[in-house]
Amino acid sequence: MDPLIIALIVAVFTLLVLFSGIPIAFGLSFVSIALLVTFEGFQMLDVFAETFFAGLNSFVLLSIPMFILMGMAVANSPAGKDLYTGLDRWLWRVPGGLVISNIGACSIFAALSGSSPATCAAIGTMGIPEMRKRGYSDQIATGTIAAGGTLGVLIPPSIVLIVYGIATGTSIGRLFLCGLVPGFMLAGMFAIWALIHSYFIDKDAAKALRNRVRPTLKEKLEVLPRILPFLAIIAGVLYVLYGGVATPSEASGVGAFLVFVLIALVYKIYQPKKIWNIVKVSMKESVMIMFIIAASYLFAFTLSQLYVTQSLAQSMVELSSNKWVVFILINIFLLIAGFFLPPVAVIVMTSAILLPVITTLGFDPYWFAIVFTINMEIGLITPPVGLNLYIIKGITPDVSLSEILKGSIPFMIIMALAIVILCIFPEIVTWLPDKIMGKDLGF
Amino acid sequence: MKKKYLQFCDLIAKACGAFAVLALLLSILVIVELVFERYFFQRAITWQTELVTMLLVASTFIGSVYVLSEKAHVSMEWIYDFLSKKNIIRLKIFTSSISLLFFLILFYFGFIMFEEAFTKNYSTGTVWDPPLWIPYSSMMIGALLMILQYIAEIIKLTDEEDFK
Repeated sequence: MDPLIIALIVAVFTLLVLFSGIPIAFGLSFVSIALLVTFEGFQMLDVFAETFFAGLNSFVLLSIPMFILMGMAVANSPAGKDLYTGLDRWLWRVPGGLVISNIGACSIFAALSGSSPATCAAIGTMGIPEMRKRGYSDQIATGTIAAGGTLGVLIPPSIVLIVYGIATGTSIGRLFLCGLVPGFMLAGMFAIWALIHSYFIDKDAAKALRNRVRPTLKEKLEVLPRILPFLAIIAGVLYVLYGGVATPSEASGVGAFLVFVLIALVYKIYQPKKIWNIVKVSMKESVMIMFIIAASYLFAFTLSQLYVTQSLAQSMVELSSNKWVVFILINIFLLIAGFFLPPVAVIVMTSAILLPVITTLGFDPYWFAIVFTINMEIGLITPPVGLNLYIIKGITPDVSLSEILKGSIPFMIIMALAIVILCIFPEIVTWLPDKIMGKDLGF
Repeated sequence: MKKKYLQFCDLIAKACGAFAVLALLLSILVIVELVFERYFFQRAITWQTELVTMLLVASTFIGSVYVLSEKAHVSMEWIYDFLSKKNIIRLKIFTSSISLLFFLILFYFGFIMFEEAFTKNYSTGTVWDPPLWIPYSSMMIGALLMILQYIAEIIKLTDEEDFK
C-alpha cells in the first residue's frame, strides 16, 4: 500500500480513537499496536514493549518531573501571591496595570515552572478574582491568564522545549536560550494589547484605575525580600544550564531541592504532610506527561515502521518549490495537531517527519523549535483540548467557556503575529544563543 | 466480594501513589548527591544517573495507577457534550475495555522481557551493572496493577449503568 494512503488511514483512525474520550496516552498506544499488527503482523509485538520502555528510559527526561516540582512548590506556597502583589504594587500607575501585572507574574512564574497549566493555575487563582473585583471584564480577566499561562512553555525552563531537544537531538540549553527573548517579546505584545484594551475598549477598566489607592514605598519594598530568593534560583538554574556547568536534569533536580529549602525558610512550609501533597500534585502531572511521551514514542516508531514518516517528509519537501509555502503548510498542520493533542505528543510524533523537512529547506532547527512552541501555545487555548481553558474554567466556574474563549482570541491572533515577526526577524531567536554560546555549527 | 475487590483496588491505587511520591523525593536527593559528588568532590558518577532513571520509569508505570484512580490522565472529552448520560457510560465502558486490552498486551510482553532478563541474568553492562530485571519489572507490575484498576473501573461503570 502507498505510505501516503497509510498515513491518511492512520490520521483518521487516530482521531477517531482519541475522540472517544479515551486517555490520550492509552489511545495512542492502542492505535500503534493495532497498526503494527495490521500492517506488519503479530511478530511486531515482540519489539513493542521494548520500544515503549525505551521511550521512558532516559536520564534527560528526569528534568520534566523536577521542573514541574519547582513550579508546584512555588505555586502551592504564598510565593505566587507575593510575586503577584509585588508586581501590582510596582506597576500601579500603568493603565491596565493589573492586567499587565498578571502577564508579568505569568512570565516570571513561567521561568520557575516549565508547564503552562501550572502557570495558569498559580497566577490565575489570585489574578482572576482580583481583576474581576476591580472591574475588569470577565473576558479580559480570563483571557489574560489563559494566554499568559502559555508563556510557561516558551520562557525557560520549558517541558515542551526539553522534549523537543530529546526528540530532535538538539541542545536543550541552547533551546532554552532561544526561547528567552521571544518569550518576553510575546509577554510584551500581550501587555501592549492589554493597554490598548483598557484605553479604548474596556471603559470599566479605566474606571477601575481611578479607584486605585497609591501603594506606599514601604509597601513596595516589603515584598521584595520574599520574592528575590526565588528570582535568584531562576538566575542560578539558568546560569548553570547555559554556562554548560551541569545538565538539565542536574540543574532541575538541584533547583527543585532549593525551592523546597526556600519555601521552608521563607514561608515555613516544611511539614511532611504539606511537602507530601506538593510532591503528589507534581507526580500526578508528570506521570500523565511521561506516559504520553512513552506512547508518542511508540506512535512515532510505528509511523516510521510503516514508512509513513519518510514518505510524508519526502512529499512535503516536494510540495512546492517555495520554502515559505511549505513552511506555512507546516504551521497550519502544527496548529491543527495542537488543537487535538497535548504539545509533548505533537513534538514526539512529528519531529521525525518535520525536522528533515525543515533542515532540507534550509531553516534553523532552533528557530523552528520556537515557532513550533508558539503554535503549541495557541493549541493550549483552543478547544477541544485547550488545557488552559479548562483550568481557568476550574478557577472561575461562573464564567462560561465561550466567554473565556472570546477573551483568548485576541491573544491567539497576537501569537500568530509573533510567528510572523519571528519569520521576518529570525535574529530575535538566534541572537542571544549566538552571543552566549557561539554560532551553532549544525549537527 | 465486589465491594471488597473495589476497596482493594482503591488501596492499591493509594499505595501506588505513595510509591511514586517516594520515588520522586528520593530522585531529588540522589540528584543533589550526584551534583555534590561531581562538582564539589570531582568524583566520577557511578550509580546515580542509572538509579534515578530507574526511579523515574518505576514512578511513571506504578504512579499511573494512582493517576488513573484520580482520573487525571488527559483525554478529549468533547464528545460527551453530545451524548446522553447512559451513552456516555456505555462509551466509557468501551474505552476502558480498549485501555484494558492495551495493558493486557503490555503486561504479557513486559512479562516476557522480565522473564528473559531474569533467567538469563542480563545486566545493564555499566560500571554499576545492576540486573536488568529490576527496571523491567516496574513495567510489568505497573501494567498488572493497571489491569486490576481498569477492571474495577469497568465494574463501577456497569453498576452506574444498571442504576440509571
